[in-house]
Amino acid sequence: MKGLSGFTMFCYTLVIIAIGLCLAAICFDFLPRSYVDYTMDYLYTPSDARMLIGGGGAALVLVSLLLFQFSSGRMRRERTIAFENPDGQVTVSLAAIEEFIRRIAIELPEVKELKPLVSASKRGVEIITRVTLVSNANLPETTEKIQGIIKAHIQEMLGIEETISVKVHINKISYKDKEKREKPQPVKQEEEKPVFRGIEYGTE
Amino acid sequence: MKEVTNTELGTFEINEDVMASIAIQAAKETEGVYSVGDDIKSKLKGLFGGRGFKPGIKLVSESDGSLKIDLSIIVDFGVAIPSVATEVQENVRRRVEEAVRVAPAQVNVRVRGIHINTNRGGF
Repeated sequence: MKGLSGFTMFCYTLVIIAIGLCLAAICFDFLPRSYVDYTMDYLYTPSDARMLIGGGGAALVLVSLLLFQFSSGRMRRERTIAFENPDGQVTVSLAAIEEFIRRIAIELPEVKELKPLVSASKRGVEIITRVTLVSNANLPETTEKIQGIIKAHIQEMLGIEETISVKVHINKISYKDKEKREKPQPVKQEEEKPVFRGIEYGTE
Repeated sequence: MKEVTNTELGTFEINEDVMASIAIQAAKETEGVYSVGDDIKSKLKGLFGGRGFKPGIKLVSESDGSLKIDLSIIVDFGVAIPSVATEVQENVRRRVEEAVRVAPAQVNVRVRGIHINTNRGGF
């Protein structure tokens, strides 16, 4: 399968290069007009060349379809972390872990948005996060807090002994959010509750 | 796929759906499991899977006659995934074996999501 995808890719590259070279040759006048006219006339005459052109076209369509299938298949392949148990295999979707990280991190008041990317290899789990913080956040403290929380939760959840590296990339600082957060909330005044004073009888 | 058993009185067959239902129930009863086959992919498959299709579970009968069960689950927030998955495997294997007298050779668990209660408090 790998060989077929490699061959398809090679053919496609050759065709694209050939088309590119032809266009460049026409542009720089390396290909005389008469030659192009002659070739076109030859191709349009009922001959074996027409069959060859038809076959070439069909092959190109096939190559394109194969290429599309390989690329979409690669995209569809789900990224997972796998454990082997005596009863069978356990796989955990990395997309689920990413969603989990996103949800735990945005509960921190300093984090406005967090986009994680988790990858797993034999060396361990690597988490790259792109974060939008609020402007009043202390960056070293917040990033350390994010790393600590993510690491602790992932370690607890996956129970893995391999190293977990958490990289934090601060993407943006949000200023609007700061204003919103600093806006004093109207303090609700406690309504005076009526106090039961017993039954009062008027004196005459 | 049907599990056919011969007795003195004749034969009885256990349909794949029955085994799937038992396995799903066993997985759902495991602590830490939020749902079985409740993810978008399983739901989509369920829409086009036809009658009797059980989302989140696949039973495969191997060429040597052994049974393989693939399960997709969503776990609760804060649980240790390996221990929950191991418990699911054990529960499913035990319940299926008790019910149909066939022990699955493999119970593969796929954790597709983590259920986070949105009303949960912060840290």
